[in-house]
Amino acid sequence: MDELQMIATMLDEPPAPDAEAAVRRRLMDGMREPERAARRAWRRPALWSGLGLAATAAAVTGALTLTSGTAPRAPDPGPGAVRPMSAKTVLLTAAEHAEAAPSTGTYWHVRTLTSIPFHGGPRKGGYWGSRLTVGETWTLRDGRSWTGYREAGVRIAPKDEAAWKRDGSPNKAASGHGLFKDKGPGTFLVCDKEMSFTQVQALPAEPAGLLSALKRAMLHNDDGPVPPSAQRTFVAGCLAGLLADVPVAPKVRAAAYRALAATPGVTVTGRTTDERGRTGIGLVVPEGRGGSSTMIIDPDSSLVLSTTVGHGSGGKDVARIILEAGWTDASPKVPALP
Amino acid sequence: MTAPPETAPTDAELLAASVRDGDRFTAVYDRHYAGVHRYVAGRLGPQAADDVVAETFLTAFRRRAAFDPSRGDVRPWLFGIATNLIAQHRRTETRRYRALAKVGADRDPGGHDDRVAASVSAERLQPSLARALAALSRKDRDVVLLKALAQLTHEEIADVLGIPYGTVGSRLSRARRKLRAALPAHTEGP
Repeated sequence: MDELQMIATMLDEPPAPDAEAAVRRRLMDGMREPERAARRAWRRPALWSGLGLAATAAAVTGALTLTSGTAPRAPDPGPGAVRPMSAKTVLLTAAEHAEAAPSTGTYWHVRTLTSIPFHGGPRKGGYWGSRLTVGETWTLRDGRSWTGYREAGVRIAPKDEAAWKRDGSPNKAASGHGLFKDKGPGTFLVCDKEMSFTQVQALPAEPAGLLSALKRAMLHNDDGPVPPSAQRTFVAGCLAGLLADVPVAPKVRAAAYRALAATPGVTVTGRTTDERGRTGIGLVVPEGRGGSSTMIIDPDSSLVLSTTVGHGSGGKDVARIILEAGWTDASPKVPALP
Repeated sequence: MTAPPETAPTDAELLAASVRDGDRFTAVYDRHYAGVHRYVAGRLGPQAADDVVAETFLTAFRRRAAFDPSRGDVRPWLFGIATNLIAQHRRTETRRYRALAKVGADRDPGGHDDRVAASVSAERLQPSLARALAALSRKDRDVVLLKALAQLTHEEIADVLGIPYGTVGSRLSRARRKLRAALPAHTEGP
């Protein structure tokens, strides 16, 4: 098998039967109202909402430790006490708390749970699920780094569980794991540009300067040019990425939150819980045309709890739960199950 | 109902007919949905694919009057539109490859379709291959994936990307060299 066939096999995503009908419906709608459709971001029915909570409820045990910014959280005021909030207020609050977050420790440590959707079983019918993997990285200030992973099984939508069981419950007990010392120096992805720890530390600590630095990174990124029409939202996405897992100084994090607060199109969806049941505030950051990424932040600790890159809400997005991100003195070890 | 035509209309004929009668465009969609979806979902993943595929056909619908059959077929034209839209979702694309590189090889091992045998040998190589794919420049990746996923000819790829025919060949061989270099030597085909 040559490399092109291998790529085709690796990337093959058999279309789900219901997807075709949904795409057709959108096409028909758009054909009827072409002008309005051109400007409207696609919205999909929230078929999968609630899936994450339902399916992971059993796994949510024990407290999750946030390694920085452990300010006590105000109790959830409950649905009766929800006040309207603006994205700006939320982000500026987070900025203030980011500035005060601790930044001492030996390793920059990020522990994530990634959920990648797949379609299993027969091509017609079959089922949708997500493969879960815990990934951890530890980076020393001199750039030496370690990567660990542990497969954490699959999550199947309740409505597809029967089909998955008929298929022999594949990957139910996936158990791969490992810890590796990285060969090269650890790098961080800033606007699709690989940056060293030193470069990341040199990022400007005020919003305008930070935005220009990110724009420069975007224009010289490692993946090729970004179309001019998409550049503005691309940078907004970079800010979100920076806040999620890049070891920048507290003042730079604060600047990133302030820059995001000043970005048009960033909206707040309100108080919510991430897939691990942690409370935070949901934000939608526009990305590309019609697309968006969502992030859940904890404004009190200024930590990003999860990011989802997708084009709507639903379990078929690639979701990344950030279990921990911060400085630690604890040495690298094979990741434990969440 | 009129008598069926002796031969099925070509894509270009369907598209021309759809200029006057918009509903005829659904026949173009029916013919090409699966192919375009496979290409887009391969690059962006299933979730983003639905949106981008819908947008591809809507864009084609809006531009149908401007389609020039003397400059190529409908199919590569659609892939050109899809490729331009994919360029706006590049972050989603590279994140997909990086995720595939991390997760590695657990691709439906108990699966049902006949590609299982092929994927078993491929699956061990997935992390290296996905990483190599992520490391390609976008220009090279466009050529590779228009070839691997859309199975366009060199000439069609040249039309789609607006580059000379010879450039398609040189980008493809450069990219394949990089991809092969990322794989263990003994895995090369017979």
